[in-house]
Amino acid sequence: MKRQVALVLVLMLVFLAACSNNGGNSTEGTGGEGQGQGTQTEDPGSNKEEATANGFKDGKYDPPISLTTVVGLDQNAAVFKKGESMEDNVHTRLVKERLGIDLKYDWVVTNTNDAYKTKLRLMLSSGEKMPDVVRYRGDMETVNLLLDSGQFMAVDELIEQYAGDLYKEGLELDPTIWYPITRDGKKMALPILDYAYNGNQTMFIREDWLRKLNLEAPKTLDELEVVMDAFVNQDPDGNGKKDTLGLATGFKNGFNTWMTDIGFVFGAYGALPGSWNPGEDGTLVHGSVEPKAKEALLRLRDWMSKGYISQDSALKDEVGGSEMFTKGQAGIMVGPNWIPAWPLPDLEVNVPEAEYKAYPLPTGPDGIAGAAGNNPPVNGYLFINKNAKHPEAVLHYYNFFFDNLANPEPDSEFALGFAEGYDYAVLDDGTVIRDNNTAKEHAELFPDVDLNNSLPNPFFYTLTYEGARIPTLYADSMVKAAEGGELVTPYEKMEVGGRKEQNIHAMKVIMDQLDVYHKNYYMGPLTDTMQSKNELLSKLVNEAYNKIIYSQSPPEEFDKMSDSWHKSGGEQITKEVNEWYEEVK
Amino acid sequence: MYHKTPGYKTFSVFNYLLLTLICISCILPLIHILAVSFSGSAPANSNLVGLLPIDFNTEAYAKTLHNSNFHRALFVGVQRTVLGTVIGMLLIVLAAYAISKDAHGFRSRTIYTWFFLFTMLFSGGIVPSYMLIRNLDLMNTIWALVLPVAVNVFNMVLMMNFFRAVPRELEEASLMDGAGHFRTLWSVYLPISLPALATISLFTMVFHWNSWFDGLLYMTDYRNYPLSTFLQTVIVQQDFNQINVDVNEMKNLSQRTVKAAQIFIGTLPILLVYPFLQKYFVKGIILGAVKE
Amino acid sequence: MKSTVKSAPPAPVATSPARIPRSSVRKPRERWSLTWPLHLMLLPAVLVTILFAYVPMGGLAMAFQDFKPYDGIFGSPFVGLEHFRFMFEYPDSKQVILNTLIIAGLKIVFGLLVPFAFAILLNEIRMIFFKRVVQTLVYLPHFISWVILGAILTDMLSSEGIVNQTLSAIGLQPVFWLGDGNWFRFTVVVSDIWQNFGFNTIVFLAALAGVNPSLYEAAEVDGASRWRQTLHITMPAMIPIAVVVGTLSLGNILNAGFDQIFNLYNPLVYDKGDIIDTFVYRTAILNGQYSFGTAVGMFKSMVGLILIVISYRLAAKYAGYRIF
Repeated sequence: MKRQVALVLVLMLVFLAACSNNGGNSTEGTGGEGQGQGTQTEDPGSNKEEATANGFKDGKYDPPISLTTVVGLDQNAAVFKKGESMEDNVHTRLVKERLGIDLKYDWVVTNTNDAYKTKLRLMLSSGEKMPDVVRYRGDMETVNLLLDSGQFMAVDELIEQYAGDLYKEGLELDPTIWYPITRDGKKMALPILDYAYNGNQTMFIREDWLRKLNLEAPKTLDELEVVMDAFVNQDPDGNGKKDTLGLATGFKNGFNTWMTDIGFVFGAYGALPGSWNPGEDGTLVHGSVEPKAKEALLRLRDWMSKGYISQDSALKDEVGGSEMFTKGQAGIMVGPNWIPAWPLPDLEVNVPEAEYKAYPLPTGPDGIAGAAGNNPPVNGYLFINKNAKHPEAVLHYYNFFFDNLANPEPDSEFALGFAEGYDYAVLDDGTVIRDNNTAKEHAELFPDVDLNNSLPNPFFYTLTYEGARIPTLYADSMVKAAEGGELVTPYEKMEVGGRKEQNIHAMKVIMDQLDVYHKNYYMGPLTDTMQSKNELLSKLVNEAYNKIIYSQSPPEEFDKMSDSWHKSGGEQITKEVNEWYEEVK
Repeated sequence: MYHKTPGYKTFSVFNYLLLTLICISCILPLIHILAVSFSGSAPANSNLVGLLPIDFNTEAYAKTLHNSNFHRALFVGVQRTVLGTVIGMLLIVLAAYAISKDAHGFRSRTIYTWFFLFTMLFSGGIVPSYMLIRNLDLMNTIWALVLPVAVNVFNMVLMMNFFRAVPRELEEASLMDGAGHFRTLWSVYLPISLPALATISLFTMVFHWNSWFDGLLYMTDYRNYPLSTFLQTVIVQQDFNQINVDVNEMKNLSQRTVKAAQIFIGTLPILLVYPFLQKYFVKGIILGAVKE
Repeated sequence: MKSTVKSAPPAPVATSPARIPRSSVRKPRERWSLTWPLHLMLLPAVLVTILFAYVPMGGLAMAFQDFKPYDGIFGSPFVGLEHFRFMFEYPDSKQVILNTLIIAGLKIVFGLLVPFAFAILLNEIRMIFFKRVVQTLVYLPHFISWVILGAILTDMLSSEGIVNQTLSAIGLQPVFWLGDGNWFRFTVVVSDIWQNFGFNTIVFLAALAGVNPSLYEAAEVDGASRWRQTLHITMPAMIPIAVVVGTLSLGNILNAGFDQIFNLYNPLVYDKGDIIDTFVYRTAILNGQYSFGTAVGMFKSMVGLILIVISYRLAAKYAGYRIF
């Protein structure tokens, strides 16, 4: 028994030691000695160079430096050639050879089910030493946690000094890109740029149904109702059964979602649920409780009772909603420009005669249309450890991708893709293979690649998720193509050339109605009241919205909800939001 | 004889019918999953597949079985399950035997029991557990998956209750013969308790086979994931809130047929093991009959 | 001490929990020379439990802190009972706790009764092969996660799903299973029982495997009907283990099944279907409020512990059962 007690005591001491280490760590902010006894993590920066050492000459670190990071692999990034891995592949070798940067991964997980987020948060909680650079793409709560952890540096000077022109231009496109990550006037992370307008949604309609029923594409909500009524009652699929729907919807996740979004009905009345919009007096108001939203709700209630939208809409998420369209049940679907690439090809398989086309969003009684969109072109952030030996290396890295791979010159090194035998191969006659099905016929050109899977795409191995993206490039090239322009650059040929006609046209439709999209004007961290009240308030809204649409509550429920929303914290939040808005405006 | 009476015969017919119906309801979801796994991807993604495959093909299985990560995960999963079951059963059986003793002779048993029960209800959460595993240097080892869950209190209490059913006469005779507690446990308790052992082993096995979250936490390399963690990372829904959804990502994520194939393959081992364990249920009856 | 078994009701029961004579208030001191092997047997389990369960329990301190990951357990500010106060003052908490109690309570009761009845029915099957197949198949749903089952169920119960089609085919009104609060509770309880009854059935069958077949033969000779045999032999053999399983599951009285509800619920059924765990998920987990989540977890455990202790005491006092 005594020995047992002794053992327990020893173990508890070990534990306490580890914990207090952690405590000391975070208060003093010395990331250095975070490891308690018995851990094996090597100090990555142990090959001591001169602390100041920039050592970056002629586009390269000589001698090479090491840059530590952690990674959560997305599914498409987890495809490797036989013998390659995240730690050693064509991307890491390229970066080492060309930039003198030796990428080291402290850990690698597959990033589903929030694995990466969980690990990051655990790292923070347990006082583990953060790597030189941490990337994060996902919920703002984790972003805020990282920002406020005190482990990462402000990047203002870094950008000033090291960011290349393309990166700077992309950042300047929308200054609000900095709002969410600014603390005390300092920019605390590097935004990872993405294509602008890529999330803006528009309306896709079954052309063959319109034609069959002799209908015009709707321009207003009233016309939309006529079309939906015909789609529901005139048997557009010709199977003799009344089993079709007007609009494919799924609002289980709310009224401001990324596909099959119903927000456009609200937008037609000038309200956008789930976001903060400038009101008439210039202050921000919450779109979910604006009186205008009530009219949109009543419209939806009417659609539900007439069977224009599915009885199951409240149970379906975005993908579930889209299935109504891809199985040929619904005639209209709202989604981003790229849905012809996914998931609409499924429709063509399930209903071979199906044809669809994108149209502008319908307008409401005042002649306006509206939807969520036009958010700053950012998708994820890079956080740089304040103890990193070479914080600027991250920018050298990003610049390299902007300069050489984001929009390569014709016949340049990366004109056809990242690396031959990985994401592409060229046949003798000059044709370029980029998909695994064609690749199967020329397996010899893809040594060590498992062709049952999609081709390994080294762009996805990068620290910045997909190399570098010039925000305006995608939309500009698509519009150019839609207007009959010739595809010249490798980017245009590859990115636009591979797109379906409907996809290109949809982007054009979206760009032509760009002013109907409104971003969420509140981009700050969660305020105190939000932290304690957000759940209650969004529950109030969602419950009332759904019950009104389903006729389970009378329309007056909206006023009651709006009232209690304001009383139970909404007013306070509105105040806090506007204080923030005053500051950044 | 009772089973000759008309009443019992009617009951029997209904009984067979009822159980058959219940079984069908239990197997339908798996048949659906099987049908999806053998279907073409378009009908599967659009949710058109019911109980029969549409556009029959085996591509999903080719994809799954060619995935080297899948093989590795299968191996780790089996390794974890075997090791976890052996160690878990050892600890549980030993402890359950001890606390099955009467409080008269073994007064501290009650303290022990509540000591264990308490942990069934309260836990410190993942942060301290994670720190502990890290400080014990168990990260990325199979022990991180086996040791923290080795003492399953629910199973221990069940086992204890089964042990209590062992007739005292047998135990006393054994102790009288000069056998110690270890001998008695081995040669008297265990042979009689085969049905219970089979039950608890099954539970432990299933528990290990299905656990996935600890794999996610304690493995710093996804190539060391056990199968269930691996599957979880391909099956589970994505949380797209506030993410700019990318078309490439969505194309890959929505391979329902592959997911279905993986679920089915993941369930298969237990389907194979269970019938094998069932024979011990019958053996227990025979031994039970012999004992008195 | 074993002599008390004689007073046992009906048939000599195979699995009967230890009986304690009511008179024995004072227990004799333990004799170390006799019991040391028992302590030795417990040692490995005790060590593992201390190390992996008790040591990390320090984390419970988070319930009384405003925990910030980057400040750690020792650096986060102490806020006392703030989180508990927040939980009870939250406008929805009464409704949420009530929902949880109703759903979890129904699950516990039927989660015990259904396998109990099922084991009896299965015990009447004489075809060994059929019996084994049934036993295996009913355990299958246990292996399918709620992410998958949720999707399947949502389809089956949708407005055009197979269930509602069947209902209209036999002339009944279709039901909005997942969108109507009361039906939602019904659906959740039934589908949970369906998923898990195979589990407890196995436990009961294991108990039945210990029944001496000669008991049935003797009863047969006495001319007892099959129903009487079931009443006096089969059921008593399962009751003790049922009591144990039931008592242990009381610890879950505030766990109504997060994965299931999370995958099935929607804003239409918030008032009847929102439970503590989904509520905590939306408030704490999504917003990174670890402390609140820990505090709620602690509250749930306390309630569970109290219920277990009470039922343990009651069983010991009135039935002479010592469950654990």
